[in-house]
Parts: sequence; structure tokens; C-alpha cells
Amino acid sequence: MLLTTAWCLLIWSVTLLLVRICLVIPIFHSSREAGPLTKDKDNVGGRMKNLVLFIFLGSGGHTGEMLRLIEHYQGMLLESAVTIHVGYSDDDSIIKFKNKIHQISVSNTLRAKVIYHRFDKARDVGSSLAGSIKSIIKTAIRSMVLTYRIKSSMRGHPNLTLLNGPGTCCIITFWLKLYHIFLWQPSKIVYVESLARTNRLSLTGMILYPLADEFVVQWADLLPIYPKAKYYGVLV
Amino acid sequence: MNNTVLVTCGATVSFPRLVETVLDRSVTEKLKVLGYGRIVIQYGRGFSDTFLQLVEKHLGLFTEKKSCGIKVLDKIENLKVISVDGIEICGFEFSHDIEKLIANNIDLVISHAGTGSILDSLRVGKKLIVVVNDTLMDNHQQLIADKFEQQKLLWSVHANTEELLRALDRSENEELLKIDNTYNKQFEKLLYNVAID
Repeated sequence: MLLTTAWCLLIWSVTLLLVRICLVIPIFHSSREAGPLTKDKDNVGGRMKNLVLFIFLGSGGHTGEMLRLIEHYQGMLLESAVTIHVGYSDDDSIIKFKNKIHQISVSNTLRAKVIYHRFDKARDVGSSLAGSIKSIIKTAIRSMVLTYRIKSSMRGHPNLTLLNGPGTCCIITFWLKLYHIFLWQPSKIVYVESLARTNRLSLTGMILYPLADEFVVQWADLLPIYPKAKYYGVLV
Repeated sequence: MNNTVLVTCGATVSFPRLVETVLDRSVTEKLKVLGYGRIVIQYGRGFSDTFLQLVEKHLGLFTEKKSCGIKVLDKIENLKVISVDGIEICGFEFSHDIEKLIANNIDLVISHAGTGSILDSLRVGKKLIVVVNDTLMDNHQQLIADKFEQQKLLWSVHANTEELLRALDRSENEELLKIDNTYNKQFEKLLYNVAID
């Protein structure tokens, strides 16, 4: 009798968990249409208040593309932001970010509070398998704490997580989605695939394709292979 | 002879073959004919000594000057300003102000095929010749260069004098198209909708 009850409970919780996962993970439901919007939403930029923005500067070309994105969409991303969380893994990216913000603030008033979070690199290019696994686990634990802090400050605000690669973005997404499933705190992730990817996705891109709320590519050739992706030309 | 050409190798890996191709006498002569009196070369970290050796090897003995008169350049640490064979060559390892330099002081860019450098030039509407580094493994430079060339946004070549000379001729006789504005209202709407969802 006790065993049967235990089994029933287990099956019930597994079912509930699966339903919950299906509700949260974007690949399991139909995608949002970028088409016509309601009148209210049509007025983009300036209208939205108190956005909490989280961007990750992935070093090198990834940082370059992210800085171009926030520059080109500064009205939407920076001016309406109350808090900007900046994740990074190398000091060079922070210097570049500060330069860019300085440049933008000459012509625009930015009132957002900027908070920096140092993430370890998920994996160095060319490192051994054992070395990779060790560093991935270390990164995962540290980023669990960091993403929790970031997530907590998003509560009750419009919020957006903008990612462009590389590997650390997978770990960030993993934790954000896990918090979403178990803590009922929705995260909204937009992944923009690197411009360098013309005919196939990066490994990070492939992992995040089912997980990101919106997945954007910068070359039209990728659309037939990845139908959930969206394409708006070169954005960076 | 008032025009300035920028040669940029990118920050991550140096590209000696690009520097050497540009310093070949046939190329510098061609640049002079086309009115370029100054070559600015960004060659990447740790390449300064090799750079000076290459200049001497290809163009002979040179004299070094203190400054070149372009503010952004003169600020750069360890800038080499060289007068040789009737042309001025400014060389440096790396600068955070390269976008500003391109926008204000450069007439033609000869660049490695990294996306960052390509965009730096295209966004400010400069003529661009891209040199693909085919010694890099597992790299997307050729694909990207081909894509942009198909759209008539740049001329793509490899690091040899024949191809570069031909591209220089094309840069005089052909027009490139301008890249689309990056601002896309639909993408902005997408960001907005996701954020308020």
C-alpha cells in the first residue's frame, strides 16, 4: 500500500515537472509573432520604463558585436534601463564597454545603474577535455550565484537578457531557465548569433536554439535550416 | 599624394603576409600612382621589430620621425613613423581608437577579414579591400569575405601582390554599395515585446 502511494506520488511529480518544463522551455510552444502589435506596444522606445537589462560580453568579436548592438539600439536598451547588469570574462571587454558608454552618454542621458559581474571562462580554446570539464564545473557554480543575484533584481521589472556567445552563455541560460522552472521567475533571453556564422550555427548557438526565447541570425541562409530563428539583416 | 590608406591586421593574431604584401615595392609604387602618400599599418601586438625589418628589406634604408601630424595616431604608444622612398609609413601595434581614425583620416582600408574590422570600415562608408588569411584553421574568414563581396560591399583578395594590385585598380574604377542601416524597427519591437512579456 505504502509502495503504491509512493509510486503514484513519484509519477505525479515527474508528470508535473515535465509539464512545467514544456511550459517554460521555448522550443515546446509556438513562437511569438514579430508582426502587428497592439497600439500601445507600437510606440517603442521611451515608453518602457525601468527595464532591467543583462548583457554578456563574451570577449573579442563577441564583445565587439554586443557593443554594436547596444549602441544601435540604445534608445530601447540603454535609455529605458534602470539597471544594466554586465557579465564579462576579460578586462579588455570592460574597458571597451566603458569607452562605448562614455561615447554614448555624450549625446544621451543614461540614468541606469551599471553592475559588473565577472564570469569565469567556460572553456579556453584548445584546452584539454579534463581541463574543460573542471573549468566548466567551476564556472557553473560561480555563475549559479551570479545569475541568481541578477535574476533577483529583475523581479517586478520588464527585463531582458541579451546574449551573443560564447560558451558561458549556455551556463547562464541553463541557470536562468532552471530558476524559471522551479522558482516561477520568468527570464526573457534573446540570443543573436555571431555575424561570423554564415552557413551553420556555433556550438553555443545550437545549444541555445531550443532554449532562448528569441533566436536571431544575421544571415538569411540559416533560416531554412533553423525555422524558429528570426532574421533582420546585419544588426551589428 | 594626399590620400591615406589604412592596413589593419586585427587585434587577435598578427598577419605577417598582409604586412609584407603591402610593403612590396610594386604595391607601394601603385599606391603612390593612385595618390596615396601615407600608409598607416596596424600590425598587432609584438610585431614592431619585424615590421621595421620588413620595411628595410622591401624599401631600403629609412629615416624615423617623431610624429605624423594626425592627432589620433600621435597619441598611440610606440608609434613608428617612417619616411622611405617618397612615402610615409606609420606603424603601430594596436589602438582602441581605430574607428575614429578610419572615420576621420582614412580614404581606403585594406583589412584582414575579421567581422569587427570589416564593420568598422563599412559603417563609416569607406572603400574596403579585404585580405583573407587562409593560413588560419577552422576559420570563417573566406565565407564572410565571399558573402560581403557578393553583396558588392567590398573587394576580397588573398595575401599576394597580384591580387592586391588588381583590387587596387578596381577600387579606382568601381563603386561599392553602402551597407544597410543597422537600425531595424522590427528587431527593436522584438526586444520590446520580449522585455514586457
